[in-house]
Amino acid sequence: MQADRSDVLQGTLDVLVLRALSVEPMHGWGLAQRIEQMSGDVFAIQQGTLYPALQRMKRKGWVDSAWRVTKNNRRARYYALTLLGRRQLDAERAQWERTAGAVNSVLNWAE
Amino acid sequence: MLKEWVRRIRSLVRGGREDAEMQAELRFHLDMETEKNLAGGMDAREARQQAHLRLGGTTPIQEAVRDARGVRPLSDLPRDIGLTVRSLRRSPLFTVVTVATLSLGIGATTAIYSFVDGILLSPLGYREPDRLMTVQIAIPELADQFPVLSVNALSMDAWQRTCEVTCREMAALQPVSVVVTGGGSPEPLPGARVSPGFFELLGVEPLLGRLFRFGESDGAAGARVVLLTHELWQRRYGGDPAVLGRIVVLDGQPVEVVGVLPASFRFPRFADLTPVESGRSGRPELFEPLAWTESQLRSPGAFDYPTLLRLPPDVTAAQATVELNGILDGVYAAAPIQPRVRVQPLVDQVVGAARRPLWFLLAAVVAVLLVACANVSNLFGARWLERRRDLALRGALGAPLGDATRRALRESLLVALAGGLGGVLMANGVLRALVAAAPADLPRLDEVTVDGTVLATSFGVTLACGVLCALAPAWHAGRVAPMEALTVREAAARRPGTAPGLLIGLQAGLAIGLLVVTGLLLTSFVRVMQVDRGFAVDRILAADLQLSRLRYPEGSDVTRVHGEILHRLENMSAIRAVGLVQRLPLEGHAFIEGLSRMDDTRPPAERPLANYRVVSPDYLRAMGIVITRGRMFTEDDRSRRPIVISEHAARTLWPGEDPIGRLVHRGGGEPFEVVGVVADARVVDLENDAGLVAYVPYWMLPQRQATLVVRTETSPLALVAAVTEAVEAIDPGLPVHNIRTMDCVLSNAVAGRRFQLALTVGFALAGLLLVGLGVYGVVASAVERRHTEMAVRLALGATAWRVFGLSLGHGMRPVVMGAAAGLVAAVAAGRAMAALLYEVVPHDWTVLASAAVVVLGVAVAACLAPAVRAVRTPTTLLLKSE
Repeated sequence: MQADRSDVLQGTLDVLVLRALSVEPMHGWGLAQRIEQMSGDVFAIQQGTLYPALQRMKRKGWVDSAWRVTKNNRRARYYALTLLGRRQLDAERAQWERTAGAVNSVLNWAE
Repeated sequence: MLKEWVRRIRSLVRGGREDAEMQAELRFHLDMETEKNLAGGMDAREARQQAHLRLGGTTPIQEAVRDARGVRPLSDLPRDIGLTVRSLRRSPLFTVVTVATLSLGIGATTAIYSFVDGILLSPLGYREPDRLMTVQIAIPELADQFPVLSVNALSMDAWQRTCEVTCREMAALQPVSVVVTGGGSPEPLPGARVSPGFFELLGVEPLLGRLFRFGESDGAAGARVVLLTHELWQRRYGGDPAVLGRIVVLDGQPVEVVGVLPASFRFPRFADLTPVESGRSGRPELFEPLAWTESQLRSPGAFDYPTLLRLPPDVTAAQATVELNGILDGVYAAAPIQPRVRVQPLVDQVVGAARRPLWFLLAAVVAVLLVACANVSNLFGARWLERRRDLALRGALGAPLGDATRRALRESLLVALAGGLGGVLMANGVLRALVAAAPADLPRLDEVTVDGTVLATSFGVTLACGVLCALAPAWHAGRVAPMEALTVREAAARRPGTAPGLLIGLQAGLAIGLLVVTGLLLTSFVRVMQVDRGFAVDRILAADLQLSRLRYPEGSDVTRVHGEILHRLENMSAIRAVGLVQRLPLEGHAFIEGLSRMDDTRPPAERPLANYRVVSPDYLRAMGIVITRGRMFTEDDRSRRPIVISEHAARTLWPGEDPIGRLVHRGGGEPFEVVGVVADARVVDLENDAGLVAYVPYWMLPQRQATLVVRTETSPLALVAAVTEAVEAIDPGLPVHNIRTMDCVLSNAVAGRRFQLALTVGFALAGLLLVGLGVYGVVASAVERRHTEMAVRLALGATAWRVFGLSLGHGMRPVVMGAAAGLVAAVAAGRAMAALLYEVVPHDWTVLASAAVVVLGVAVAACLAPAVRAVRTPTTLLLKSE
């Protein structure tokens, strides 16, 4: 069932998390759901890898976390993007666009 | 970097809570996923299972999170240590060598640091020691004879009467030497008279009894009182509390003991407090109250009293100086001299001269420690190089790269800790040996111990060593490319990189620095010993005599008993000559006064000054000081006023003329007639010319404190009993003390240099040995690594010499570069230690060249064996084995 989905590379996971959090703060499970949605279910993440990644990003100062109560009145740890994280996301996006542009131009040239 | 560590430590402390939070977070995640699965139509059991499957195992996740946080839980520690210990135990030789090397390095560093800490760094044991100052006087007109002087009664009195801010807490001392009799043999004791408020100024409370009361002055109120130090109380009075109120006899006078000072109270020796009085070196053992006499208060000179000042809050030393100077200006307004005040911290005054040599020793031992660390680091590096394949394989299989670095760090830290433990154990023994070997005139020597501060410092040093030693292995471990695991040509993959070379270079540089410094000190020592002293040292016995004022009230009594003693000793068969002098050569200044021609009309401040020695006629013969012109005065000259001067004095007063028969005066008073000229002798200290010296007969200026000088036929020590008995026969209550040979005086005079030199030689040898081992290790492993390459070269026709040269070059290149850098650094270091050098310049080329030759020689020797092995490689065998 998961055989046809590619594994998510670490760097990509970071970008996905940053993008997801740029919309609104959310907790770990919600983040997992959102990332799968965002990638059109192409990226199946082993949900567990999310947590070390979040921890790492927290250390880098990209995200911040706080315990809050959910809509269903349960306690969950919410992660939010910091200013540094937003800047990182912009940088990643610019990098991605440059690379994508390069790939596109190569493809165009080949045609 | 610091923030990172703070975070690590915090998360180590808070690790438990963060783990709990992570658990809660994962539980929430599983709950949500299960609910989602339930909503999707699964049954409860499957929903839960699927949720677990999607998330993955919670334990590995938690571990990964902890890793990401950068901290392993403490529960991992025993396992990690166990692993490390096992891996070290597999190579016992390696472990023993590295631990021993570091033990030596850390032990020596700890010992020297204890030394420096005890003498220089730890505060004096008084209340707020950094507010305690000494007050001294500098007289510009006399600056070339005395850079600084103590304070006189006149100034002290003026300050205390008129000063508004600074002098609230100020006290003067007068060194005294008394003979205590009764309850044991007569014993001369160093003591001090102290002005009121002295103990309050220092913040000292008595252990027993009380301190002095205000106005309780010396003799004036009838009864005399004394305070004993703890040491004297224990030694002479057996620690008996009943000593309070007891009457003891000092210089024949009854004195009441009113208190005992605590054991923690240690007052500096006068030698460390006063610029001139280098003769009296003991710590005061008893204290009496000081009250100025009328004649003391009238004398505009007599700058003889060390003075302490406690700076009031918010007053700086500079402000105090200004106020004190202002008052002095008033006192000396009409005088030909203008005394200036110098206020400096007491601790600086006490340890001043010892500071530079000690810092320098610490630097030297740190250099040795660095060499040791570099060696151990290289050994670790070689060890990790062997593991490279293993590491690369692990890397290829997904072990995080940091893992290997952490392992390297763990290993070296463990070795460093073991070395540190060994070092601290060793340090105590080394320290005891050091204190025993150190020159006794080092201030605060008896305050040196291994204490908490020292232990904390050596722990810090140990950790630093651990990190330093991990540098080379971490370098290797961190640069392993997983691809290497797959390469067939393993030999090519085992290139060590530049780390070992750098470390060898560093070692060579440090070793050459140590050698240059040693060479400079050695040259200085030899030159000091070769100085033309102008007096003899062999077969001369010296003993101090001290005549109490009670038994010998008049000067004529002093002269009479001195004459009797001299006469009695002169007639003993084993004695060649016997003399009397108020201060032995090399034991400092005695007194300095003017020595002028009668026709010198210059103002007194511009006239020459001379070191006066009060001597008996035969003193010159006993001391081996040569008469170059005229004659020595004799007992027959008693009716005249003869004087003998040094050649320096003769040259200064009558350049190119015959001084015999001329008249001189001391700056007023009756003239003396010059009857002879003697060779210049280093009567004050060994390293400096004594300037002008004048010898006057002992009957003219009777001295209660004097030294007998006995030139013997055979070993001087054989005569100790005979000399003591002869003095006892004349007066049984007259103590003969401080018996020493002149050899011993000379040896004490160079004790500081010898101590420094011995330690430096030790450090340099240790450094050299370590460098040799280090170079050997690196070259040997390089040759072993490259023996295939060598074999190929040989097989393809390279000459044996070329291969030999290659191997040699491998070891020598970093050594030569390091040595060159070391030479440059050594010249700079030499300039910094110029004050320790004697008649040798820091860039003395013989020393530099010898150091370079020795280091390079050792390095070449270390390279030889492996290089020869490289040449002897049995070519065919090796090629086959590949």
